Amino acid sequence: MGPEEDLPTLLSRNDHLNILRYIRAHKLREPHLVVSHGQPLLGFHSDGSTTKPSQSLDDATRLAALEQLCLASLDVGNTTLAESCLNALHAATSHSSVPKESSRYRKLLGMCLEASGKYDDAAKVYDELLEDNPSNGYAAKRKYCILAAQAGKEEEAMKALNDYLSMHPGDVAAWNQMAEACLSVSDFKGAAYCYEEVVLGCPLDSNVHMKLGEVYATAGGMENAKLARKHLAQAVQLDGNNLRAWFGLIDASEGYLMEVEQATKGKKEMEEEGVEVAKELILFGGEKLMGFYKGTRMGKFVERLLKETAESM
Amino acid sequence: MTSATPPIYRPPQATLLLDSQIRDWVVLPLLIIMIIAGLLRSNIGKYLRPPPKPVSRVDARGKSCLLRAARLRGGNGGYLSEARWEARRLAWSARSGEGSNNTAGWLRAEATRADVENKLQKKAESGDSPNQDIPGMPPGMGDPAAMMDGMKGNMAAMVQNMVMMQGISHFFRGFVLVKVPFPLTKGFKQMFQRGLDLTTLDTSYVSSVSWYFLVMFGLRAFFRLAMGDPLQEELEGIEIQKEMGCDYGAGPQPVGFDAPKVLKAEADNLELLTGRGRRFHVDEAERNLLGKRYPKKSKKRSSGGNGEDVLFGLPARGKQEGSRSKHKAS
Repeated sequence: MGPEEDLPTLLSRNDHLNILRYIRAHKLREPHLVVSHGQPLLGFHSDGSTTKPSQSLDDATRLAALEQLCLASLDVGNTTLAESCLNALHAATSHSSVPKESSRYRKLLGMCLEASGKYDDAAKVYDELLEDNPSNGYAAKRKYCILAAQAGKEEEAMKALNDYLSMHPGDVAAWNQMAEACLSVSDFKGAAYCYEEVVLGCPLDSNVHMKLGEVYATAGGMENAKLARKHLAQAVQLDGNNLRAWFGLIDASEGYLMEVEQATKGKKEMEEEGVEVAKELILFGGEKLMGFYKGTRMGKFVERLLKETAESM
Repeated sequence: MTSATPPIYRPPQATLLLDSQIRDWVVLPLLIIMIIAGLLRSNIGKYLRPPPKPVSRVDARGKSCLLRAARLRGGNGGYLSEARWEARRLAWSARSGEGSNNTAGWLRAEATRADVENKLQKKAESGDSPNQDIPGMPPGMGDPAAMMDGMKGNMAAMVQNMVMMQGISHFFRGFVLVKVPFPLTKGFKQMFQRGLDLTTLDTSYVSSVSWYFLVMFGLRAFFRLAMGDPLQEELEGIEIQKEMGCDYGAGPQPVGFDAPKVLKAEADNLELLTGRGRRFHVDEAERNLLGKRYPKKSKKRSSGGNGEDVLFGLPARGKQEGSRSKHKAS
């Protein structure tokens, strides 16, 4: 799916249609590119006037580009452009105007309403969509977003997200959102559970492992400290340039050592091997970090920080 | 092909002369008719395709649950540590009475829930219009309209095939159209000489009905080339419809998903899984990261946390590998 050339080639050729197609096919989020190339393609001008599009498009292509441009203009906060896209969608200029009861059109309408702050109207649109088809996941997600966008409705938003997740437990993005919501109220155990779900969904993402490790480390406890080390080590392995994960690995190992120190004598004996590993991890991570910062102005500070850590060991 | 003086002894598999009229009036017209018919069929099929139908709430939820469970069951499960993986597996697949607080596991609860919801829905439907689901029939079979929807798309192809085959066997019965330029064993007789009951005829001759079949299957790749891939926008439209809870009725059976049954089966699958023989990448991550610098194991065995079974003395995977690599090193 999508054009065969890569994006820079298309950009240099100024091939508006295929740039939009490429961005859609690869699910990129490039609202500025979409707006700057979608406007000339569809004949919109920045002063609000419309002309004939630069090239004749068939209906499916034109409507898809309009939808994309509408979403992108919402993304950059240009509600007037979004509105003219919406009007163009059901304008009767072409023989295939979009009917107003199309669920795809109503979804866009709801998002435009949201963007201009009319949350109640938007919620009404989504409610109607859900009434027509209760398994419309998109509308259910948008209803959560409406709540999340309003200050002072955090609790309701979390409840809505919870409802959504019990209906669609396979949605990884929603789990990620839930993890962030849990973090915002300092529920580290809940966040760990959600991030575990995200790890199951995208196991090769270094950042997810890093976040899960951090949450474990923050939650505290001997077992969690060990898990934190493991996941941070995994994050570092998946992406060797993930500096935050390197720092996290050192910090988590240190936290683990502190946990061991506070443990009872019997437990301490059991953790002998773990202590060795943690110390080695601190040294290894420190060397790596020093390599990254060598010759930069930050180098001195990082060195001092790492030395302090090593001394406290 | 033909010699002026026929030899006295003719081998049993002599070459037949295929009249050039056959080529001009049968082989090529058949090919052209089939190409035209194929293009026509794909265009008619587009109009006959049923519009996307909303997925029922129960099915959507069941499918999503299944997706989540499959992630744990599949290779992605190896990116949690063993203890956490095991905890999830138990929590999802426990039977009622053996879970942590005597409740059924998540998947089993979902299965019962789907079952109840299905029953409620059926009751509500039968209240509206009795006799809709004929007892004794599998679900979805009672509603002929639903069945028709799925079949409509295939209808064009089926009707066309039937008519074409009848026509060909009526008009060109017994014709030998083509000779393939290589010898074939007797086994191919069924395939190449359908409608010709001649035991002595060489298998490399192709009868008219067989030619029809060969062309029909052979043209698929040609159609893919001729019609091109579907438009990107069309494919995206299908994806968006899916996201919004609609589905194109693919295949002849409109209702093929039985959420309670599938969820229960998935719970049973999870119940039977063990962590042994499964690679937990996260548990090995530190060892892999440090490589040779990983500290040599001391005499005293540390325990706990590494998925080691203390009670039965089963070593964890990571440990085994450690000792193995140590042997290698020494």
